[in-house]
Amino acid sequence: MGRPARIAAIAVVTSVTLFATQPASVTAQRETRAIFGLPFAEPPGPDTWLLGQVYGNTTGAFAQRRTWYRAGQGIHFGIDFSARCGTPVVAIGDGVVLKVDAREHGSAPHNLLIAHPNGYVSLYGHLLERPMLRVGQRVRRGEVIGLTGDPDLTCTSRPHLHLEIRDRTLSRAFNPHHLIDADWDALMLFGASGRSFQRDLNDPRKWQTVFDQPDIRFGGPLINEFKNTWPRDWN
Amino acid sequence: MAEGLELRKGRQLRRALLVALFICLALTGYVGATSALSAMQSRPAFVQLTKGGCCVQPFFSPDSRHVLFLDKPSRTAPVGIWSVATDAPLSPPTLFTERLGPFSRDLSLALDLQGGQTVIERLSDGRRWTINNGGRSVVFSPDARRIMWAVREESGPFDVRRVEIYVADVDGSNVRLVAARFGGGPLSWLPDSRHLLLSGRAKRDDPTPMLSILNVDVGTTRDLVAVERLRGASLSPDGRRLVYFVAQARDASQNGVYLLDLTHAAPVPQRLNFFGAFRWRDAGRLLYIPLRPGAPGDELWQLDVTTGQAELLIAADAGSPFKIANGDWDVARDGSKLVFLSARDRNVWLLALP
Repeated sequence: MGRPARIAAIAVVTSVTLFATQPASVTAQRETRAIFGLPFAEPPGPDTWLLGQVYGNTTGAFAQRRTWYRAGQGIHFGIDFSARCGTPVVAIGDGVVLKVDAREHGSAPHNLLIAHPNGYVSLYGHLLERPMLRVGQRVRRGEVIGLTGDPDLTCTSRPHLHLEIRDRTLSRAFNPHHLIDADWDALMLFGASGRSFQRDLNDPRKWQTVFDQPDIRFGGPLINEFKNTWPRDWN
Repeated sequence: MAEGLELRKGRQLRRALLVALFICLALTGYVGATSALSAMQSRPAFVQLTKGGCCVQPFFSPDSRHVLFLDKPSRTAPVGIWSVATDAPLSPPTLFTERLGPFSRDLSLALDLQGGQTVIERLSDGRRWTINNGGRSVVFSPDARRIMWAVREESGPFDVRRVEIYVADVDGSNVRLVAARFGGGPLSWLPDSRHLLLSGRAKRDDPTPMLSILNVDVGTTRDLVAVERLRGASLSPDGRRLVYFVAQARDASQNGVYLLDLTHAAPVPQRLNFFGAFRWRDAGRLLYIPLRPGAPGDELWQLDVTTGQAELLIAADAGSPFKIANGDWDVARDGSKLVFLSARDRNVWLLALP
């Protein structure tokens, strides 16, 4: 191996190591960062699961920016996967159970947080029942860790899984579309809602695909309080 | 040994015949007998319309000759609906209108929100008037003479929230409550501008939501079919047929994509042989893209809803721009073209439909 090649190899190893230990803001290509799997073992479809509301400044999140999504700077800070109540949810990566039913992180009625060795934490929300796992327990990628539920507790209203990816301090949420290995373009073709993003008419190209949605800091100021926006801020 | 020689001769003969057949087909320009062969042998006509990663949610002008999108191409340019002619690909977009819509179907009227009030503007002369509906968005009837809006309950499970449906003349007069439903709501105007397609429960404790057609003039309702978890309803351009899908129903055998003949007195949903995204090409042809996550490119199929025959129009490979991003695709009203945002380069591409 020549010197330039060695330097390049060292640089790659160094950056991979940094990636693995320090969740960064969304600047890298998704191909190099899709380190997790989907939270379901089954493929998508009408009998299993479909993509619901995506991460980011969706029109739905904008409408609820001062209420439901206020804590996440006004955007939908996770991905919703539509699925019938009772659909098995799997861990998106190897890790250790960090919290069970941590109400302070929302996503009622039940949630689960898994800490991953690469520094990320995955949060699985709106679970049907308290997961049968204990804090500190190791889980493997693909292992069933809970069942999907419904935040309205009826299983007929809006049953879905809410999945977040946070940093170890739990104070930041990252765009999971960069971090989960999935064909998001194909998944975006299907479903009925949560597909379009709110426009800032001063910069209408900003945040218009799932891949350019911003990371957020919990408790930070709203980032989508646009003065001039589209769709209009209808009642 | 002799048998081996005969076999070899036979193989050589078959190979020679195949080569001769291939040459004949190439010379005569013959395209395959099956639809799949047709799609793969004829090169689809993809044309790149925009560059620089511009722009999302493209849609066709009513005359099908322009592709429109909301944009602000430079810091000094106005925000508005910008246009690229379908016969002038990669030409600099031109400003179509500074009004953003939503628009009436013929683009003669635009909707706006001003000081918390819903405002309609007639684009031909700039005349504007206010709709007294509490600053809610409205949907224009196809003839642009009426408007409709919904008032939704703001709490409780979504599938049983009360939705009130109001209709008025386009000038804001003659406001009336025409129906109420629990869950669901108005899906679409029918082309005659006198009927609305509704979903939802008539009473909060009804077991299953109902798909219905409401005559807004006389207030009568015709129930079509009970459907649990109806999604993605799309009316054919002539209003005679509806396509929708059902997913994650309690009874899994109900999941799928369905076609409903609305002209039938008691229509029976016909389950279609695919699951995927769909758009109407015209009154008799439905375009669809099957759900195939991980596939290098999208497949575009066409279903003749009068005969039930499906035809593969495009089978894109990894080198093709036909991998749709953002769920953004639209079909020209004349049925001749399709526009989409490509996942390859995030630009807008045009496809002349075979």
